[in-house]
Amino acid sequence: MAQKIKEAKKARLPVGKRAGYFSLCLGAALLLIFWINALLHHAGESQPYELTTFSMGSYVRQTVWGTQEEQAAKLAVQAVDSLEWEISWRDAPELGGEGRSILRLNQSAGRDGATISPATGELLETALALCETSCGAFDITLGPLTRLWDFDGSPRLPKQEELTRALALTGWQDVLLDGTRARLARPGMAIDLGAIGKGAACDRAVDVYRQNDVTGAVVAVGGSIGLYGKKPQGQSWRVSVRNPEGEGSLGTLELESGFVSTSGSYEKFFQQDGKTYCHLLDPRTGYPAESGLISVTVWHPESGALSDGLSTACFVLGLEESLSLLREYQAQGVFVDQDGTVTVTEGFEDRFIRNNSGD
Amino acid sequence: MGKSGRIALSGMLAALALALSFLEGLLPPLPGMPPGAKMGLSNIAVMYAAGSIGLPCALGLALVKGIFALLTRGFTAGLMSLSGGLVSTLCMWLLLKKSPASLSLTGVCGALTHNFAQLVVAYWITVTSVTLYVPFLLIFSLLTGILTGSVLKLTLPLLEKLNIANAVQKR
Amino acid sequence: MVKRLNTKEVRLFSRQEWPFFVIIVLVAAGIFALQSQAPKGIMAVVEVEGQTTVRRDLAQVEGAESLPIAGADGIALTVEFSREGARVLSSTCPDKTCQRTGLLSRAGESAVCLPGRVVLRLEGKEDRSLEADAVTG
Repeated sequence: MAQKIKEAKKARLPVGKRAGYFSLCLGAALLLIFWINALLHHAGESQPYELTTFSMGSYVRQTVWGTQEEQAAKLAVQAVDSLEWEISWRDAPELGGEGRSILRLNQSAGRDGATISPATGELLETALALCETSCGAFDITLGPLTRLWDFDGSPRLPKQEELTRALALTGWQDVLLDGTRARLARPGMAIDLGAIGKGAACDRAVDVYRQNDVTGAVVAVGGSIGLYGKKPQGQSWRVSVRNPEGEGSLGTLELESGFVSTSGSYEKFFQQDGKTYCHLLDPRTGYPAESGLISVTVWHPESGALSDGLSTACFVLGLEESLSLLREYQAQGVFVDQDGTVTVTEGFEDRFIRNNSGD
Repeated sequence: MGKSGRIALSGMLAALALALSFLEGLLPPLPGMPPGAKMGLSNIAVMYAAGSIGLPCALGLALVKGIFALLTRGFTAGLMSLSGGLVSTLCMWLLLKKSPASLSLTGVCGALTHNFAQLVVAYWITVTSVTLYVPFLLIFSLLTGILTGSVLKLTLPLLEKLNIANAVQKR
Repeated sequence: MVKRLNTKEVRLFSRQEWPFFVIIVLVAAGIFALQSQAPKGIMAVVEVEGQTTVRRDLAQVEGAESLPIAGADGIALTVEFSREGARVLSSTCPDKTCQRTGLLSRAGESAVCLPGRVVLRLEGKEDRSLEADAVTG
């Protein structure tokens, strides 16, 4: 029977009909290619877990790839929340005082000091080193000043004598740190870690990713970003830098890892008598920094707290002095001055891609 | 072969159509395609039914397929399969019976009507952007249509030797 | 003209039909060319307290479309979608940072209202590799 069919088929196959069979093979081949392509795409495509929460007076957005990505993201939220609890100086008596390292330290100013958590101790150590290296352009003891300007609440222009009084209560040299024991030398002094808090939060999140089999993750705490691991297909991370002079993006940074933070005068400001006052204060004058820069973006390979602190320090220092400071920390940066001129450090020349269009 | 034979054949074709769509379901979804876009291998069975047995049987097959999808893959998939199946069956029957169209043309038109009826339903239900998929669907329909036509062309001689369809037709 | 489906009478291809196939290919190519000129499909997403409440395909917006959003603490926002992008038009929050962010036009950009716990952001619909993973600033 089968033999018969075969013969019949052969007999019925004139030259012209071969075109049909040829097309069949062609079609099948094309579909095969299509499917293989589809399979390849499918294998490399895994959906990340995305989570938005609010913490550190900012929004926290995580994009996490891994085997237990959801759990990792939720643990990271806890880690960031507990960091906020440790380093916030704002009092909330109804929530209790357990573990509130910085609040306790500030309350004990001028007296015998307070015991702080080891993690806070490490953060303070990093911060104090930056205070020294930046010659005081970055200062964690600006608490009295920031409360006067109150950029997070209802900002106002303080009187000169108020500023002089507050300035006298600042000075990173008067923070005495010994492991988990810290002391502020004079009463009225107050530590404010707002300038490194968001970056430190990225550090905490990345620590959690490292311990939870995460393959790749991005965490953004406000404008501070932590990059961990790799994307599923191994491409570089793309971090867009906001255009300080208007809408949209200034350009994109292509990075393998590390931490990025930006300090910009456009973030928080108010106007009074035709003058604009931004939230980035110069510890030397007590007034908003006027270094000619309007935005500084800093990348640090290992520390979010340092990238955050460095961006603040650079904003205060101005372009020239910033370059040597960044070199010392092996950090890279993107600077925008008030004329809109963009300067990029050497290591970033290939990594920062400017947007050509104005947007 | 009488009425019972015809019913038996329809049942066999229905089983074949379901088996083919099940096999298709095992393959991963295509990138760039709207959710639910299928190669339409089961169209081979429907096309054969439309050409050899008759419109009622072919429409019956489309209906069975739709109900199967409704039961196994939910309301949206079922509605999409049903609308696509009925429209394309009608189109293929018209082309096979009322025009001198070739098998590949019938297959392509069947795939086109099937995919676009589904697209309309998808748009209607989910209100997502579907226009993006149109060019991909056109080319995709062309390829799968030619494939179904070709498979039918290859299997027809075998089916004829088995003498099923002719037995049905003789009545 | 009633035909029977059998090998002798029905061919796989017929010479007169090839223009039909060519037309399909041309139409597909034409639509594809038109689409690649238009801006990429971008979704505007509104999240309130971490929960997605609105997803809007910007390619499908006719003109400008505004939408009220209820945020946390009784803060009310108005969000505007258009083909050019999305923006926060107004907000009853004190700091108005979200409003100042202006128009979002690229996937990955976002405007955040902290007091209202509302995030408006743009998401690329397919090609993740070209959109920013995060925005600093």
